[in-house]
Parts: sequence; C-alpha cells; structure tokens
Amino acid sequence: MEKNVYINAVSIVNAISDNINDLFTPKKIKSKPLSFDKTTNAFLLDCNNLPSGIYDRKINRIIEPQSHRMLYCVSRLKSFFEQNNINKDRFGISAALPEVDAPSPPWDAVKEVKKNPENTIECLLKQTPPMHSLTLLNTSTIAYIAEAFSLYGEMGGFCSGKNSGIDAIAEAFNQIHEDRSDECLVLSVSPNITPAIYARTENVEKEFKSVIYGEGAAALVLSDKLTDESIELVAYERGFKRSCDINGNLLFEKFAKIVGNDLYEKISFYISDKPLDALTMHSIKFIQSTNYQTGDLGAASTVTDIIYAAKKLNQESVNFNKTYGVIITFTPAGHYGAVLLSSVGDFHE
Amino acid sequence: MNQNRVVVTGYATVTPWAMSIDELFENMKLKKTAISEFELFNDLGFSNKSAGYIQNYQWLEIEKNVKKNISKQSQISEYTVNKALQKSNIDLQQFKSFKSGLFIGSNKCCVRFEDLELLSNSINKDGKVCLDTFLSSSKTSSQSLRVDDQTIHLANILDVTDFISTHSDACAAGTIAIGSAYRAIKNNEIDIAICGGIELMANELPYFMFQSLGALFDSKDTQVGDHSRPFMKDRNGFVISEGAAFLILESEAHAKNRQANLYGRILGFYNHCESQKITSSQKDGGKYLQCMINALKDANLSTSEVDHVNTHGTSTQVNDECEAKAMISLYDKFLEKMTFSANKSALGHSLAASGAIEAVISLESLNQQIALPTINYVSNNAIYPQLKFLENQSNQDMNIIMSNSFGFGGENSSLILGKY
Repeated sequence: MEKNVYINAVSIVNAISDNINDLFTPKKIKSKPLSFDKTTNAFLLDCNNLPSGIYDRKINRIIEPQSHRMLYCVSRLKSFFEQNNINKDRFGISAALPEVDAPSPPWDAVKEVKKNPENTIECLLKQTPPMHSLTLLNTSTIAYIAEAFSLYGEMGGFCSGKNSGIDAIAEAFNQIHEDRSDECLVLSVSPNITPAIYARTENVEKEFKSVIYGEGAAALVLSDKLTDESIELVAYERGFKRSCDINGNLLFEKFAKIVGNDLYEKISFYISDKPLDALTMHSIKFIQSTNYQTGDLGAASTVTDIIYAAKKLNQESVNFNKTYGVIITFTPAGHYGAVLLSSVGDFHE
Repeated sequence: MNQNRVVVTGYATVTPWAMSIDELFENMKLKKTAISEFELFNDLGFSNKSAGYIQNYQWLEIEKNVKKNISKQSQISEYTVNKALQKSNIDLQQFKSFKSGLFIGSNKCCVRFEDLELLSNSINKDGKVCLDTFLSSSKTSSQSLRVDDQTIHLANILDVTDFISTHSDACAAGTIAIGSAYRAIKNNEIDIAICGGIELMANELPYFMFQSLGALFDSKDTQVGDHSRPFMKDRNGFVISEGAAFLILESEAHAKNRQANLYGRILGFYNHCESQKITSSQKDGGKYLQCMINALKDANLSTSEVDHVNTHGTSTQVNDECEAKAMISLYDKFLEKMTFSANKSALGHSLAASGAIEAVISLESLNQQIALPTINYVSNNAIYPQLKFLENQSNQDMNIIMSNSFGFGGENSSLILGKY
C-alpha cells in the first residue's frame, strides 16, 4: 500500500526567530564575530533553557549546544504529541545530524592543552561535563527525544553535512509511503560552530570564508493523516554529482511522472541557494533559501526551507487552488536534492 | 508495486589481523582472537589495554593498493570495496554504467590527543585562535574530516550518482546501511548497491568515553583474549575494536543478467527505536523481540525456519541479558535445533562496522555450511545454557540466519540472510 504523506506540524529555531512567520518579514539582524576568532562572523543563537516536564531533568546541565538546540526545537511540538492520538509503535524518527564534537567541544580541550600540555588526559577530563560523553554518538540525542515522547517506530540517523536534511526527509517519506510508519518526526540541527567546522568546510569548498554559518534547528512531523492545515509532501529526488542538467529536466523526471508533463506550469515557486537557469526559463518564481537570513544551518538548512515553503503554500492556497512549491539543495561536496510540496486544494473545497 | 528479490554477489572485510573474509573465517574457526594488547592504551596508562585494532602491517598493505593522501577511513573503505567488487566480478567501468547506490554506516572521526596538541599551537597569547594557522595545522587532523568522508570518496571514484547515504546509527549503523540498500533494490529504486560499515574507533577518546559509560571490559586479572565473553556469567563489558566490511547487493534479475555468482539473499530487515534510557533496554527483551519478529515478518518467514542467529552479543551485562531473553522467547520450542554465535567474542565491538562484518560472516557460514564457535564460551558458565552457542566449529545445514545489531540510544535492527 502506498500512502500520501503530509506535513502536519513544524518547529524552527534560529538566530532570526522561533516563529516561521518572522522569516517572511525578516528582522534585520547582523551576524556577530565568533568568540574564538573576531574576524569571522556567524549568526549565533542563545537557546533558551529546555522546558521542564518533557526531558529527563539531568539533561539541561549535561548536554552540549548542538543537542540542546535540537531538543529545544522539538520540545515546541509538545502540544502536537499531547493533542493527537498517535500510535507510538508506528511513529518513526528520522534525524539529520552533524557530527558531535565529543566528548567535549574539542576547542575547549585544545585551550586546556595549551595551558597544561603535560597533562592531556587530565585536560580533557576537566573539560568534559558530567555524563557529557553520552552525547558521543548521534543516536544518543535522538534517544533523548524518543524517550521524551515515547516513540517506538522505525529510526534512522544521517550524517552527511547539509545533505543530511534530504536523506532524513527521504527516509521519513519512505517510512510512511511504504506503510512502515503512520507518522515520522524529522529532526535536524546545525553543527556547533567551532574551528573544526571551518577545517571541514575547507576540505570541500575552497571559498570557505564566504560561508556565514548560523546556529539553529528545524523539526517537522510527516503523517498519513490529512488535516485542515496539511501540506502534502508529494515526492523527493536526490543524487550526487550528476553534472549534466543538474538544474533541469533530469532532476524533475520523477516529479513530472507524478504531477504531469505540465509540471513547470504547475509550480508556483522554487527555493534554492541560487537561481537556476532551467527554471528561470519557465518563469518559475525564485525564492532565496532561508540560509540567506539565518546563516548556513548545515544539516538543518533543508528542513528549514521545507517549513518555509509549506507556510508559503498555506498562505497561497486560500483560493482553493492546488499549488506546488519545490525546494532544491546543493552541497559543496556534490550532493543535490529536491522536494516537491503541494497545497491540498481538493480538501479545502 | 513489483518487488525485486535481493541477492548478494560479493563481499569483503578488513578486520584486526585479517585482510580478507577467508582469513578471518579461518581464524575464527580455529578460535583465534583478534583482540590484543594495544600499545597506545598501555602507554596512556589505561586500566584495560585490550583492543581489536588494524595492525601496522595491514595499513601498509592497504596503502599499497589505494589512493594516497586520503584519510585512513577512506583508504580502508576503498580497499575493502575493491575486494568486494572483485569477488563480484565487476570492474570499475562496468559498475559506473549501473543504476547504483552507496549506503555506508559510520559514526565518528575521532580526535586524537596529538591532534589537540598540534591544534593548541594556533592559540595566541590572548587565548584567541588564529584561524589561518589552525586551518593549516589541521589539514591532516581528524578534526578536518567529515563523518561521510569515505562515502564521498567512494562516490567520486565509483561515479555513483543515484543514491548515496551515510548512516550514523551507533552500533546498528552497518546493519541499517545494508537494510536500507536492501529496501532500495527491493523497491526498484536502484539495481545494485555497495553497502556496509566502517569504524576506526580503537583510540584514546572512544576508550575514555565508553569507559565513563561503564560499557568497556575492565579487569586487570585476565588475559586480553579472554576479555570479550558474550553471554557468560562473568562478562563485564565490551572490547573496543575497528574494521570495515562491504557487500554488493543486486536485484536477482540484474545479477542473473550479468551471470554473477550468487552468494546469498537478503530476505528481510527491520529497525526501530526503543525509547529507553540511552545505555539500557527493556529488561525483558521485549523491544529486541519485537524487532526480530518484524524482521521475520518482512522476510515472510516463520520462527521455525531460522537455523542460526548471529547475535549482537557485546559482552555487556544489559545487552546480552536482553538479547538472550528475547531469543528464548522468540525461538522457544525450536531452540533445540538451532545454533547461535557471538562474533564479538573474537573480534571485539567495531560499532558501525560490526553489523556489516557479522552479516558477511553469516553469509560465509551459509556458503561453507559451518557455524562458528564463540570464543570464551563455556556452556556450564553461560547465563542461558539453552541457547546453543558453540564451543567449537560445527558443520551443519543452514538456510536462514538472523543477524542482530542493537545500538546505543535504543536503535535496534535485525537482518535475515538466506542461502541462495
């Protein structure tokens, strides 16, 4: 049985706001110099304390920033879990995660090593908060969330930088589409901004200093249940370094089979880092990725863009017409992906 | 939707002291352990010095056969994948013409103490970083590596364009990578996949981290080869290890069309989230049981059809207890006719690589019709003697093997492998 897939709940947090509406009328915020390098700027986030009553209360004092952002973002979906009668055995989790710089953010350890080079192990231990090593593996963070909301369905964690977002969405979509899950929580979070991130970026993109990173997280619930607010996730496409016609027909082959040969006429807008010639030719409206406002959120970029597109489709569907939006991502390493969303026009009639 | 049958047409491993599955299988038949005293752990004064680690002679052999100036994780991956492709009789040009995917389980690139020392040189007297100095000194550091470094490297040299993913699912990552490849072929998304796991965690920081969780074996009074003791009453933690294993999976039609040798089938797969505390599981093994039942359901098989279980068997108190209870509950009256193995007794626990290594060992068992012994297993000191772990190798008829991987954070997975 192949099931339709809908976006039924969303949450974002980034330097601009934790309200998606604010990305439509962006506040003019400026990137700030990094604490460890005043010549480099980023969009930094002061994340609130985790709300009480959701997670194990020890977590607030032990968790490192990346996991904190993700837990905070997901905590804002609490009302969804409370108000909906969910089948916990068929509620999956799919996570887009950067590497955790465990056991302690290494830069803290490096600074300690500088102060006390004879005692490397002691330096590390000193910099490692109690139980912080529990964040060693990405699944540990997912486990905090699974435990908090008692989710027992299928589970997947992906770690491939910015591309993780499309992988996590694809896994969640397939879980529901193939009837392995009824619903799936998609998690994504930006990496910690430490010197290491610049080293990793430089390996794949020489113009690394042009990247302005941001801190943030994004989460959404995919579901087989249609509601008044649902946006349909119609299909996705992904690949790696297929340089031929990367922004044209090849990418949309699968979409055209679903939507029809008049695909280009049906798409209202596309969101990407940059305008794509083949789509511009078809007069499809280009919207710059939310990265432009929030800073590059890495693994959380794609999910943030999807949430933005879903909101826009909701705004545009007031006239009961079914409209489509596409989110297109590229990574410096060579991955690409596209997600096709649509408003659910028929339902509103 | 028409679903493809998924067959295995090649596989390869690199594990401590063994450069191939043939060498590994022979060693395991003879109950040779791959766990030894690790000089680095000794030098650092760690209380437990045992580890399974890729030996220097192995790295020299790998480096002779792969690209230079790439990370160790990419080197061992390229070497192992080349061996798997050779077994599959596929050359590089031929592979590039297939509709293919790459599914790799990998968790972390671990920072070494020496990296931290090197990087500390980029801090100025005010405690600030000179980013340029940092970047120039970190080029060879593990801090500059991405977790998916080997995936990108392989995708580039193999020209994989359709489907690449890096699975970070703790100890279940290798099995989940294989399961995801199986699903992609079964659902006709691709014709052929390279899948498996790689982990290089036998170094100081993972030791420290797992030690602080109380997960590692910790006793000064026994020989290193005796440290990993899955399902024994006196087990007290796992031994950290490393390695790589990759499989070539294809749709049956694609494999037959190119007249490939068929070494087995992937019949079923399931994974799910346990939602317990990070290092514990449901005490009665109920969630492990659910995972195994659903994998059999996916394979459309009954309990009675399973001949052997390659257990996760880490040698920790919690995992072995829960897994044993789940298997007793599931197999019940069929236990008498079944056998079990715990490969980590000989190899240690290589996290993301472990599930892939154990899948390859299971396939080799099916092909040779030999069930392997579990090192350090003595039935009269076992927690549940009704589970028939073997003290010595055994020739036996086997058609179906279940291979389990249960990860930190409660990520459970079971794979069902069949003889072709």
